[in-house]
Amino acid sequence: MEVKALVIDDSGIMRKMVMRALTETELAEFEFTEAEDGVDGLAKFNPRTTDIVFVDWNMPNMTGIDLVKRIRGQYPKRPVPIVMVTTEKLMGKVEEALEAGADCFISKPFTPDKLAQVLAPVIEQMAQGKGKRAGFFQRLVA
Amino acid sequence: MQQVAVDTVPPSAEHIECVAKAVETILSSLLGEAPVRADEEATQESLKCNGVVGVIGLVGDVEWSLVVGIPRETAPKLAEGFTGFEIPFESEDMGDAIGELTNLVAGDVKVNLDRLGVASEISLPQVLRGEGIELLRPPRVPSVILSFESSCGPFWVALTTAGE
Repeated sequence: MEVKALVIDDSGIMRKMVMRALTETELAEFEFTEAEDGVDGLAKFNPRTTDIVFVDWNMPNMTGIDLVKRIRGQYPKRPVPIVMVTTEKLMGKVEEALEAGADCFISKPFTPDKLAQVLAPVIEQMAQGKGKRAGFFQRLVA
Repeated sequence: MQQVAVDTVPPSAEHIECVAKAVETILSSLLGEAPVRADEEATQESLKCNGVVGVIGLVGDVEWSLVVGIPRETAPKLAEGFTGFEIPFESEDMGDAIGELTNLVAGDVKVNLDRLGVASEISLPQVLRGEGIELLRPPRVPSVILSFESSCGPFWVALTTAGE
């Protein structure tokens, strides 16, 4: 299964680490687009072609949480899964992210195993063609 | 120029422990083994750094700055251990990697502080690289230096506190 993933993080190293970890999960054949902050991410996000979004929280110009709100606000009928990958770990932040419209929350540092554990059900649902449905994804936290 | 008064409060043992535990947790998660904290306080001389220095702020119930000093010999090993990529000392990625490492440590400090009922938010990190970088701690503002030895080499973490 091919998955077009948009990876948004102001750290180029972290983007590389996310992309490598995703590839190592072997959950899908990922095709990556990179963005370096929320503004860049929003410009590169296409609800028709982006299958999944991985986004950091703390970024200059537009934070990850603001990006999630913008995407959910602008494209309510095409809810592409959004995974927050962040140093934030507090339950209040997890709840804030999920309430804003994120589907999964993964705290850094992470391993490919941890990523695979969280993403497997999401990818499975995408493979079944049920992915882009609001509220369909399990609210997953790791 | 107008002077801004700052309430200075020395870091408590609990607060120092928040930082030490964060360093140990993050480094052991990244490298597979925890760094060992030196018993002795670092000397001013040992804070002169030929290497990379990450700086980040925590604000909220506290007003802290956290500085991570990594000598030139340690930095590439630590960056590679963290990222899995070879990162030469002179490369642009070095700043990125150490900035992210500083961010990860601060993120864990934030969690440890929250367990004490202390709310905080972290800033974006900044990174310096060069020779003879000297940490000039502000006078009359309490600070503490934690020195560590890791499998990648030595490094130190400075905590300067105000507020709380």
